[in-house]
Amino acid sequence: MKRFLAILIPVALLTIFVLVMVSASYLKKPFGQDDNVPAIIEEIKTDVRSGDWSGAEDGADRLEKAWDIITKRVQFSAERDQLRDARTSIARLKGCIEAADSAGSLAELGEVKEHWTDIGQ
Amino acid sequence: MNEALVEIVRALIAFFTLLIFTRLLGKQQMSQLTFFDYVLGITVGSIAASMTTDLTSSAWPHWVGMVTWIMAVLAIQWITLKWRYASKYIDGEPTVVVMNGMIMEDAMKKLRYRISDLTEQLRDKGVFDITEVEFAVLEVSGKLTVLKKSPYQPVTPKDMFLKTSYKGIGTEIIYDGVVVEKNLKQVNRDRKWLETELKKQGIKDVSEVFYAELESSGNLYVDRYRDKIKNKTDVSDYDGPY
Repeated sequence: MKRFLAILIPVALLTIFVLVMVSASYLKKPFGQDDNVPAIIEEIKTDVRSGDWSGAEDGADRLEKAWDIITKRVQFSAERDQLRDARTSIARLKGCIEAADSAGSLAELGEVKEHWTDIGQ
Repeated sequence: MNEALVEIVRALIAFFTLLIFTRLLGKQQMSQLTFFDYVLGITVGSIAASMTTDLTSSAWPHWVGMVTWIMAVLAIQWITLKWRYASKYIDGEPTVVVMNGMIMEDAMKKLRYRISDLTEQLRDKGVFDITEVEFAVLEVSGKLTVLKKSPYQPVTPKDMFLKTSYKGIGTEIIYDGVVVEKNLKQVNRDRKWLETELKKQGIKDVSEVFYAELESSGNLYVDRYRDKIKNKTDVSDYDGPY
């Protein structure tokens, strides 16, 4: 029993460590509606293309909250700069929406999507 | 992102990974480490440090790098254990630098080992006159092993034809006030014997003892928590507090 535990404990620890470190690609995926980043991005894109700026503004707020939820989940396995850069893009997106700049908004949305895709890669 | 929390988690991962893998690496002592082992240690430690504090990259690639280095060491260890030639090729061989009192210049040149290194290491061994040396071997670890000429070697009981008694390894019987039952059984003694021995030394209970060891001669060495020393030697020059 002692020998079994002596082997089991380090193996279990190493397994937990690996799972923590590679969990980002799983944890970034939506667990509900509030953290569905790709879906929210698509919604904002539709709003921007149709010129619904108040809808886009509301979408940007939801995107910010969704990103915060994901950040908490993936912080142990993702790169800090990646998470920060996405946050900066969302801030810029808000500015573009306020200025009703569709080109800028779409560019920032593309960048946020890229950051989301890169997490855990 | 809570940076402090992330660093704590990463530090724990690096710490326990190192702990687990260094146990696997075996019991080679620091003094026996070759220069390559030393460099390996620094590299693995450095990866563990950046894994903890470099949050600009994820922990996983650092961890993979660290484990790869450790696995490479394990692989080399396994190869050198199984294949003697590989062991000689990778770790090198001990080299004789002084033979019959003569310095082996060619061997030293190959090792890029200077005469000043030799004299320094000889002095470290208490040899101030090179003529006292019969053989000096530079080990793989960089340590110098010296065999003095017979007139300069210390006299042993055997030289004097003196009889000596057997001296083996002592067995720990009590540690921190607790009897080590397994060891007591191993030396074919029981609690009753232990209590009698302790009573002989004026000890009523095991809890009074910090450490007790059964010597190979059969004597029981006992150290109590309360040491009966009247004039304690204090090596400190200042009262403190420190």
